[in-house]
Amino acid sequence: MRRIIFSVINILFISITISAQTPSGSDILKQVDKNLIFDKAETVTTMIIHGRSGTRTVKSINWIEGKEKAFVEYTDPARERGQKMLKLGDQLWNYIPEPTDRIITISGHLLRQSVMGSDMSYEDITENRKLIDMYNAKVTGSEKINGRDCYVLELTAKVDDINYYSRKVWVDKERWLPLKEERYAKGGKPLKKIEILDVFRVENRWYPRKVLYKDLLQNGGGTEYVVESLNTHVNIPESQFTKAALKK
Amino acid sequence: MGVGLNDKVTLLSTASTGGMAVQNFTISGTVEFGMTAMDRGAIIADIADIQYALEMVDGAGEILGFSKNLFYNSKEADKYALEFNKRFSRPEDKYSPIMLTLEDQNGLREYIHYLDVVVLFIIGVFLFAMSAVLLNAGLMSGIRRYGEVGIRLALGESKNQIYKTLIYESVLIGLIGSVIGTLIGLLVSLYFQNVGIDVSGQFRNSTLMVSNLIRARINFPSFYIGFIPGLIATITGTALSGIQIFRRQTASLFKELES
Repeated sequence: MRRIIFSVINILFISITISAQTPSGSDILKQVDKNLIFDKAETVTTMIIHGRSGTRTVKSINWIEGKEKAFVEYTDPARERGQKMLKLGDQLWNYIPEPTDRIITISGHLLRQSVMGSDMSYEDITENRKLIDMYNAKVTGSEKINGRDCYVLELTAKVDDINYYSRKVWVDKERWLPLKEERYAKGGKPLKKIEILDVFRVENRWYPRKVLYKDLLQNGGGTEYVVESLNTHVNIPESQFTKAALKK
Repeated sequence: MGVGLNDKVTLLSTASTGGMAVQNFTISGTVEFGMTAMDRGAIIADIADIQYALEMVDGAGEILGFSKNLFYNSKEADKYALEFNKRFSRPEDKYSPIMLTLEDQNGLREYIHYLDVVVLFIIGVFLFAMSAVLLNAGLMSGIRRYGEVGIRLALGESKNQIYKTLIYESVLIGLIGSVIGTLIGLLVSLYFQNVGIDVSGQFRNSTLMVSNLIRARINFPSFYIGFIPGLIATITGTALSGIQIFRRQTASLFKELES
């Protein structure tokens, strides 16, 4: 009898210890948000779009300030060179250079358009809230992704105006990076799949080097988003995040 | 839209790559296609410029085919589509080329078949009704001329001779009536062939490439279809009523005439 009581107490103690080690879903989301958002950064990125009619590569320079402000200038290929995109909060503008020379406000149905034919939509880009502000998170277990231990999180929307009602996220237990993510519509239909294929260290945090986005409603082979360089010690003038900068 | 000649307009569309297509065009004129679906959103531009704007140089999303006489022939269209799809279309690849007939799009096949049945029904009812009317007219004229036939028989004319003259007479009446009727019908049809009936209200929100004007078409059957009730029914009516001539008894003729 004494043995049985001892075993039960032991099991209870181990369970309590494990649950005490597992952070809550909201704690994990806070860590992920903290890890992915920079105060100010300049990145050079390459998008490799595996479309149904072949593969295209689009290069750009990006200036970011938190989640609210972003300015993108496309540098390659020649057809896209000079195109710029400005994001201020949930507003988005595209600039098409000469000879068209037009600034287009991306709103309404245009938000559902693909960015440069990639698997990302303008809606994805304009989303500027933190995960913790949009979702209730529940840790449902642990799994290994590419040899890394991950928490498995199920996210359910706690706000109405949201692009994806639910998400399933695999978060690296040490680096706080969402190594894999599946995004679903309200009816449970899978819409997007995102995988971090490579990471690199920036100062004291880990950041995605290569991300594979896959729009599950499209027939293509997905879009690889590669961060070629990232500079967090950059001085971005306030004028960079204005409509006037688009035509410069 | 409030734009004029030489104004610049920007085309906002989706490129073949899935990205946003933005291209400026200069307005050089306006055109009315006479089809609501096209008048609402179609533009005519240099195909090379459009291909460039939509990032599909030397490519096309859809190619429209027309027959030489510009009339849609369902059987031929089905035959061409079947042959083409057998050679080029692969069901497992949703981007392989596929040829669709006009009827294969937007549920038009059911609509056209429905119209065919309705038209056949209307023609059938019309032919039947006209035949019945003319048959009745022939019968009535035979019956009304009972006295005339009796006098002719009394004067010594043979029954066959009378029957023949009645038939010849009905042929002549039927011919004259059919010619006049066909001429009037052709004139009305000619008007609707040239002017047509405006049905644009029916297609205001439609994406079907259908003309806003429904027109009559004068073809070879238009010249003889009227003769079916006009001639055959009149002759049949007269022939049926004329049979009574052969039942008349010469002995009782005077009695009948006296009464």
